[in-house]
Amino acid sequence: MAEELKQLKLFSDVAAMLAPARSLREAGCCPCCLLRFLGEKDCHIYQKSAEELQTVAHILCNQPQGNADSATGDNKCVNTDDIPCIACLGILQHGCSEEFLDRIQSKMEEECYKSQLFSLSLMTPIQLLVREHAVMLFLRERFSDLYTGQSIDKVTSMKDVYKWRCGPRLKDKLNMEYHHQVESPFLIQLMFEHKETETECSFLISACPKVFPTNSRKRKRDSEQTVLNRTSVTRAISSLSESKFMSLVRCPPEKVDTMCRCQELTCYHEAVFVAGRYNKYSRTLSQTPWVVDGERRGETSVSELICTRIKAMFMAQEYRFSSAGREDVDVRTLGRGRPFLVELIQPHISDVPPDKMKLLQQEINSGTTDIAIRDLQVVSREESGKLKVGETEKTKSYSALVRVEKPIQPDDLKFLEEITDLTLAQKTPIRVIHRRPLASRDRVIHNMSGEYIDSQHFRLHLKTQAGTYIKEFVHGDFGRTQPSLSTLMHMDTDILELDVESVDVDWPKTIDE
Amino acid sequence: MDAPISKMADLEGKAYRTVVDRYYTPGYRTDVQGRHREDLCILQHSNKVCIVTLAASHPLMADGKTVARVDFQVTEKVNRLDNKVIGKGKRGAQWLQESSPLCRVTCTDNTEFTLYSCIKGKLVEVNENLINSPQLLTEKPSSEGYIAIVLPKFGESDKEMARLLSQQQYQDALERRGREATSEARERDLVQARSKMEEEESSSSTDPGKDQAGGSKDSGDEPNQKRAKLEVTDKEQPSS
Repeated sequence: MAEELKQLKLFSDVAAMLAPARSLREAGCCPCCLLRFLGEKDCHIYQKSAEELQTVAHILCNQPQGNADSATGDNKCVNTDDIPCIACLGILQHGCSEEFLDRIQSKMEEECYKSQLFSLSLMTPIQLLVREHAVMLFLRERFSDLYTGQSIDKVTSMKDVYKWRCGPRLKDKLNMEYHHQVESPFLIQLMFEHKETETECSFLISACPKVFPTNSRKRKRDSEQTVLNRTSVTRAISSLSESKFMSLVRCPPEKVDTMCRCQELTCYHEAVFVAGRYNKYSRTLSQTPWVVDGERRGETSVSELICTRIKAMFMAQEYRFSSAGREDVDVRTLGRGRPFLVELIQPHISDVPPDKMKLLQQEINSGTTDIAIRDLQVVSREESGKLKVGETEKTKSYSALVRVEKPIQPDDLKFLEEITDLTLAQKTPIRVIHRRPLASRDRVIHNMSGEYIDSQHFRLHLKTQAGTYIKEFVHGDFGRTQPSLSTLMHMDTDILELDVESVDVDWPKTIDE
Repeated sequence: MDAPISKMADLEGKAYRTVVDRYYTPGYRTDVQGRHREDLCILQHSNKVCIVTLAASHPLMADGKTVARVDFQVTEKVNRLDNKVIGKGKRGAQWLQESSPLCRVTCTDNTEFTLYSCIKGKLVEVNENLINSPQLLTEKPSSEGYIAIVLPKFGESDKEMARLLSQQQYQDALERRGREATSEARERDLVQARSKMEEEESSSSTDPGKDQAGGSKDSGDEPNQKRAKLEVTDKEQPSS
């Protein structure tokens, strides 16, 4: 027996499988489908070059029957790669060709996709389900001794063969890692279509009334295409008896003139998360774009100053900005800043090393004096969830410039230091009542102190539970926060300036500068 | 953080503006429900939410009355304290017309006043603190003594406010009220009253006895504390 044939592990010994091999070749199977339907499961066989596979198929089909040991090879090996296969409609032929893989490569380069690892996903025409079943029934009828008990599930799937054949080759072309059946955040999705045979499933609608009820209203509304999906077609095929199926469909299936075309090549990269902390030094900068009645207020915002460059670096389609709480437009955030998270949707580049992140941070900081960021880093999806953990437990420190109605002495502020863990009942502030439910919420002021400035002003330092409305605590919000600084001091008090001094969240991790 | 202290100079340079000055626009209705001098002030927040408050020219303040009781049971069936709102949209709120009463006020001299919404919208809340501290109504009219919070229909807040008198129109109306009601002999008193109005929050009950002649027309008011007495002019009112 020829060397090539000795490696094969088919449903039965090679000598017994020669007859089905010949029948499959006559019916119009490509070498890969031929081997699949003979029971070959070894990925290395399928990873041979197209020429080598042609040779294997040729030898297999030209062995004198019952005498597998005598080598032949008189007939010239005919290359069948240009004749569309009846079982895969060319997906394992043209779809695996060097020419097609080059197309994928140039598309990747065009769109600048870069990732460490990729995975492949195939969407194949549903009529292939009918065709593969027809091939199987044909074999079962003609070679009942060899194929009894075999079903399409025992045949190596076309998708696996495709990935074995193309995965490693694309890996070299794209310069990214590839591992069979290892999921990557970066997915290359190939959608194959075959116009010539697209009506080949239609007969199932009338043949399987149980799967496709005729008089249901749904049926009339929906087009054939939406009714026929992978699940319903699989159910319909298995509901038909062998003889019924063979009376409706030609087994083996008819030869075709055209190859499957890849209509759509889409790349999808899972979101990448970038975290950091920001300071805000402006009292006229909003956190996110501020739009009133469709009109933009303010030229820019914290989120735009941070995200524009990050989005560009990762070549993302979109971004979503979130943070550990937010400050008003007229409030500064000082100290180590406020943690934030940027979710980058559909990034084309996912692999930005720490030194590049550092440069990105410098670039963002040198572009503005209104904000500054630190600790900029890529974080995992799991890590990103920590931003919102313990939202109400964490504490925040503030300093507020307070104006008092009646003259004060430095000693008048001493009593503030004696107040600890003061619980406030805050009704939803009037300034946000239009977009929040009305409720009274308990918030705790852990401690306070007053720094005397002059008889009419002092600086109030306070550490509070997150979610405390500081402005309302100082001016009282029409008496709707109780107690308020005015009730504590027995006079009207007003807040002129507010700064966030710290947001006490230990995330994301500090990066040395 | 030393920076803000150095900035103090700037802050002191500008005239101080209160919370109400900074975030609210006032609108007035005079002689509400055709009742002489019963003026109310609606404060519209920049987010379009409206606060109903007492105007400085309302007899409760102008006449230095002492409020004894505030009752939110406005009719046999309607109690404003029963108002409950759910969710962002404030579902289930009592719907207010301009003429809807919000509360009844009884003074220590047994005079009674009804305070009205003056604005169409959902009642968000009434100031429940007025039940236990009725004096807030006159002592802190534009802060702790507010009457109610009203949320007009989305997009209609400005239209509602446009129906009210602006600060200038209100002051003009007060002047007219003064002129029409007084003889020339009391012109001097009027100037004083007007400057009082301009101070907005003054609730003083000074100037007793300056206004004896005009006081006689009005029943139920103490003649001593009477300011300018005038006839009601309905011309300015869009509806009565």
